[in-house]
Amino acid sequence: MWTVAVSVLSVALPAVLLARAIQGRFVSRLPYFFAYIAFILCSTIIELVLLTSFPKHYATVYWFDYLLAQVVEFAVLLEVSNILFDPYPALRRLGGLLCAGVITCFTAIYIFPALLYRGPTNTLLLDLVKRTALTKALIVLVLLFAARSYKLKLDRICSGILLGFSLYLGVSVANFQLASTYGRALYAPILWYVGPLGWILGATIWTATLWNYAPAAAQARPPRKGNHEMAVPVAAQIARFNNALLRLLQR
Amino acid sequence: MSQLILYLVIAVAILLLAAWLVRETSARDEFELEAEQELAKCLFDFNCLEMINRIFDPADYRWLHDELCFAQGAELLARQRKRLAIQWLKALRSSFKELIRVPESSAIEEPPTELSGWELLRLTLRFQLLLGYALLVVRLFGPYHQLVPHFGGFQTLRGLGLTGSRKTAASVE
Repeated sequence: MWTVAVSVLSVALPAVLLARAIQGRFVSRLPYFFAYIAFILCSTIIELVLLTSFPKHYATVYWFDYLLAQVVEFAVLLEVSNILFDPYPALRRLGGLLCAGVITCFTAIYIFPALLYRGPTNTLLLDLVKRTALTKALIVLVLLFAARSYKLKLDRICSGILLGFSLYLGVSVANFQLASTYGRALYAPILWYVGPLGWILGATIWTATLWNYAPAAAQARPPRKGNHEMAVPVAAQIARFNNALLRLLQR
Repeated sequence: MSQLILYLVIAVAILLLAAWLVRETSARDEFELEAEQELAKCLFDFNCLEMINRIFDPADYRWLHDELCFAQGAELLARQRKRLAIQWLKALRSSFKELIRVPESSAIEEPPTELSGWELLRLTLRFQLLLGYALLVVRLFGPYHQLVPHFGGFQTLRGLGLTGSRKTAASVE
């Protein structure tokens, strides 16, 4: 019963999300995100067919798809980070910088050492997936923290996608660590049931958030009326702030 | 087992932190934003800049301490000036954040500048780094301490390729 429910939801949620995006004509606003959703939909259908018809090949295809999805998720986060800071000229590149920084640091000190592990492939895969999930969760938190610290108004789309990702990644981290600790024999049946739960919860949040799509720029802070400061370009104003501070520092 | 507990705690922390960070802006935050906007209006006024120069100028302190030999009064003045200096630096930070929160679509037609997104981000981060440093020095040593021995590498921004907005930048200084 649970397997059927999970299978139906794993296909229905991305299908509904894609259908809604195509109907609302906002696929082009989040191309990587919807490519990721389409990829998940196709891979889930292929895996279900394999599971029922060619179960021998299921595990190989599942892990190949899963690892590919892990890479695509980084691209989705990069896309969301760009959308998050895009309305603000001074911070436009901040999302890319933060993502690149976290990915570079964590790949070097956290993900790469897992590849040097010599042992069973299953353990290696679980550990690798757990580490990439944690890295992505950290990217989500860093982006949210940066937006918070600048007191930016998070639009519904970005906050929904990031919240969905954090839910999915948080469950993945816990799940794969439990699998690593208790081993395949003990945890495999539980992993089978709990594994897709994180993604289903995340996809539910994404579907609810993107059901009524509203562009981010419309929710940005309005300008202060009658303030001549608005007439001065942002670059010049940033220069003025820097000069004021430098004069103080160099006195 | 300790690794398992650690990762479970991390997983829960991820969920809680994300939920906390995406929450709606509270009424208190809105009130703070309004207060920051009020401060921002007078930050670069002539009178305000004169007052700032006075706060960071040790002349009054030296006059009290050396000429009047009123050490107690001089120390009291230094403490008050330190408090004011920190307040001004915080107001500068708030005002700067207010500036960079202005979305592009709402700004009046900007003339094209030669500054790329990366250059703007570099200036933004540099300002925040220097401001953090200035706040630290003022908190630790007071407003009369020389903030940097030599800042040769940090020229003012007139020569940084702000051709499109140089005139405006110069006019507002």
